[in-house]
Amino acid sequence: MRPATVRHRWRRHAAGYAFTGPALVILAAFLLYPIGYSAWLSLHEWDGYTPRWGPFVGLENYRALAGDEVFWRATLNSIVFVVVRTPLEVGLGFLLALLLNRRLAARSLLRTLFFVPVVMSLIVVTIIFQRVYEPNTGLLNTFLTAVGLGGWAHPWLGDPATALPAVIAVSVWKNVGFSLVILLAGLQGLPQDVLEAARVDGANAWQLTLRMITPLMRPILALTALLSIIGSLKVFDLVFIMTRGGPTYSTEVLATMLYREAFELNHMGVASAIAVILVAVVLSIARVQAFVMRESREGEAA
Amino acid sequence: MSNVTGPGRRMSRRRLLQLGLLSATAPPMLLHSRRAAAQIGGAQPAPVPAPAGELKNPVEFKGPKVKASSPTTLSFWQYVGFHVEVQKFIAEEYKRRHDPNVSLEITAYPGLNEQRVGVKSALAAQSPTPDIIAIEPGAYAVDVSASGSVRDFTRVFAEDPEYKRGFWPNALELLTINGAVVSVPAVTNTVIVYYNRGLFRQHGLEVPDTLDDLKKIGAALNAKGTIPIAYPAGQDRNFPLFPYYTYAGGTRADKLMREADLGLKPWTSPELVAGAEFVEMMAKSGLYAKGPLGVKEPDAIQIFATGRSAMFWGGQWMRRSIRAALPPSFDLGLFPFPAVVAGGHKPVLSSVGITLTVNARSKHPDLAFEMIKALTGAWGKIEYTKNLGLSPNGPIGADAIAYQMQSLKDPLYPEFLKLQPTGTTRVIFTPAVEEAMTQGMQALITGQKTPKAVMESVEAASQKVGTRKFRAG
Amino acid sequence: MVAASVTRPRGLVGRRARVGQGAVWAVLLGALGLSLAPGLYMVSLSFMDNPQLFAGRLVPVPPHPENYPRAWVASNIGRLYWNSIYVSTVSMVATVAISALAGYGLGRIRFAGRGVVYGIVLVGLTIPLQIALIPLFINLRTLGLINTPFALIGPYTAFGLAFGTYIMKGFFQGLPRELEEAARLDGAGEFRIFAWVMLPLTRPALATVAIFIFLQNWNEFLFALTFITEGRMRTLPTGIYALLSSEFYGNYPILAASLVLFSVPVLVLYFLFQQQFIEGLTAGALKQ
Repeated sequence: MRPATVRHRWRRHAAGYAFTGPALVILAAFLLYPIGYSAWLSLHEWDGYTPRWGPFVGLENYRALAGDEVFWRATLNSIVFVVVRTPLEVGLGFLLALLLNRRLAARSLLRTLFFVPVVMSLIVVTIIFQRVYEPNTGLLNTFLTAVGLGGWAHPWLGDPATALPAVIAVSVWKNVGFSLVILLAGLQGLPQDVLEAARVDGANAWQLTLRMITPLMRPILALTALLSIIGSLKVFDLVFIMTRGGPTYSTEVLATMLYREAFELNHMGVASAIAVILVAVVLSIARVQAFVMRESREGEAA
Repeated sequence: MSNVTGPGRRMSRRRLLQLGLLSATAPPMLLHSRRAAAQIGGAQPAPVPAPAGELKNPVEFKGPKVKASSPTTLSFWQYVGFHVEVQKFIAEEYKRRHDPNVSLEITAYPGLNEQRVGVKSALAAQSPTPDIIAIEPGAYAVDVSASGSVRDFTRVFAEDPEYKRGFWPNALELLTINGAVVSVPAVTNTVIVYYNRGLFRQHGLEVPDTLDDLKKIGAALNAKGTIPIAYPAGQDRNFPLFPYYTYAGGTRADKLMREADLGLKPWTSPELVAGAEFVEMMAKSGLYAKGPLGVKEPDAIQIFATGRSAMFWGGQWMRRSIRAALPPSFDLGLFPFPAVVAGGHKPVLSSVGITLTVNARSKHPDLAFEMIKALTGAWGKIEYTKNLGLSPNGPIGADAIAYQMQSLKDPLYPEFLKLQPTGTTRVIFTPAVEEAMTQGMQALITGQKTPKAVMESVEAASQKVGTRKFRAG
Repeated sequence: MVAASVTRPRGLVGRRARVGQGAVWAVLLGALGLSLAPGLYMVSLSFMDNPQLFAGRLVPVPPHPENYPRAWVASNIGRLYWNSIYVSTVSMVATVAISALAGYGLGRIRFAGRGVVYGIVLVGLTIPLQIALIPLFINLRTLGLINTPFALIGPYTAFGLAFGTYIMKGFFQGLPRELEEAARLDGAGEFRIFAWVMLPLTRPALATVAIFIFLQNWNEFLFALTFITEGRMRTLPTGIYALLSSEFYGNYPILAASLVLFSVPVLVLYFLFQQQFIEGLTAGALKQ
């Protein structure tokens, strides 16, 4: 603890506000206001057309959601999205990063190429994957038939059992490059002397990866996971363009349900309640993650 | 046939009458044309062979009653990009001939969903733009009109009864909410079956008359490894509903369906459950290309254009994109869906295309109405549909059709005109019911639910809405 | 440390396992193939004509390079490019500048309410865009900004700020205290320390934020669609997407050509700046 005079402290606070002030103003205008507005709307009934929001209904919108099968379906799908996508994205990204973390002449080029899907516009991605998944002439089924696995050919997006996995696969494909780049950067930032020492002590590559690199990478893996979780919970465009949440709500996630309630069913209040819930969930995940990271860091320090 | 008193001024009354009789004896007209509530459109005269020389639009382009006092730009938000060209053309002619002060600025959204988001945001923000809004009949029309967000056509029609007579009465009926017409159609549209004539010939198949015929054709095609029907059920919210509407049209249950939609009759009546059974039967019949819910329009077009399927179940609005995909040698034909019950008629789904209305907060409502009149009036409708090959929003003369055919040169256009009067509306007004129907039909196509369970869930959704806050008609 | 990432790594996994080398390459190339195939298909598509596409070809023979000039004219891409570059660049610069300030404030100054401010930033990372649509539209309309570049620049900057500040805060936190204290002893004020001592050290982080934000703005669709309704003010994604329903309806080759034109600038940008981008990520986000 540094001793600080009152004047000193006052100046410190002022400097803090001066530096964060511009950001605060913009965030307030374009972020806090919409969130506050949503929170307010979530307590009202509104069709989105009348000049002002309708009557105050208290927590009715939340109660309606609790009793809505589709909401639980969407929640479940969002959870599945997170639980399936995040480990795949982080795991595959880590695997590729480990493989790329060596003296390769083409490393920089490879890294760029793996990043291409991240940069690609979602419009392209969905158009192309529609052609991949199409049941009759799609590339995937054509390929399966060609290699003698015709029995596996399937209406991927047309079957409620496979639609969600099919959409998740696209989202993993699109985002793996991002995890890869972060994780590779992390690997390159590891203390090389420690690893070298372990190697000299006779650790093989497998042991090195499992016992040394992975624990050292934990904070970075956690960060990648957090970004992936947030991305999964917010996923909208991809699902909406590919399946509109169907068939029969099998790919409905919270964000598509929010859209449907707001713009198709004119339930602005209910839609706002979903938004509030979504923000709360994501925030608490971020908090839990921050807590876990702090714990692990303190654990390391001890 | 009072329908044929179109704007064909240059023709003798007698000639018109002949044409009217001619078209009245065309096969589809034999099928109860007077059950107006269930149909969109009416009989058009048969096209006359095009005389030599350049033809002109036979109808006068009437000027507006109100003109702008200073340069004014009207904004117009729509969701069908391929209509922009002709809308621009009409607006420019209007500017050139009648009101040099008025310009039309068209925003074409990529699709109905995107446009609805835009419109909804603008209306919620009390925005005076857009002046003119394109809406869909059904839930969208109800949404914007019941909330008082758009003006109705009562005064416009009172001042210009002739303009009102230019529309098919049943089309306007579909856009009448709480007793007032809230929007007017730019075109009418049908859903039919396109087919590959060459393939049919090759396999010795005939156009099916009944459902049994269709099933036989399906079996024959499947035996030869050809997919019978490409049906893009995954395209949007509407497509999964088409088979149901078709059945309702084919059994004359569409009136009952519309009453159920408004909460006046139960969705669980045997007639309406039978529709769901039909949807299920079709999905299991082996007629569709695999996994219809995973097939979108371009996929279905590809399947059809490459000869993998013999038929394509789709809309008139797809005519251009289908044509663009077909090889030059492709012999394209179309027919109405076969009769779904023995002795029944052949249901053609039909509806109004995009419909135009005026924002209640527009700063230039009178000019906006004049612009809509230019786009949808006697002269405009001929130009509009000539350009697109969609059916007009009301009767036009045989000379007008001849004029259109001179540049359209598509033998399917007159066929569409012929099928129009047999149409069954495909409109649901209550958003929650539409949602339940879409999901229910998907559950039938994937075999997750029984027809009865599906209709019960639709009924539950309908009851949850309670008394409707609007009146249709 | 910034320098950490520059350290040349040794072959961690494979040095001894020469046999495994082949397997490693097989996995890498397989993954590479999977990740590139769709992009290559798009390029291939952009050189086809409709019959080739609908015949299910994978390679355009003969190629149709004329799709490119047609796409350029059809979607008025010159105009769209300009709008996109303008909107993306202005909001990127604003985001980078403001998030550098905020990141410094949050990362290095202990002031009352810091936690709350950081909380707001975190909320910014998490809010679903769809729900902000209507309130923002109302806001922007009240301010008369609909159909102006500011209708996008404002929200883009705000949403970018969340990510930018998050990264910058982590980065500033990781900088050694000694530098700051030396400057303070020399009598430098807080802003001087920020601008002359700390900021120059954060170049990689600034590059990361800049590229990431530019990319995000370049691709953004929902706001662009809703807040810009005039064709001539549109940005690339919505302008190109409008082709889907235009006279080129169903003409995927033209669409694909437009999309290639759309993707090239960001890829070039990434390729040029990837070293900074990756250094920034290493040093900033990873040190949280």
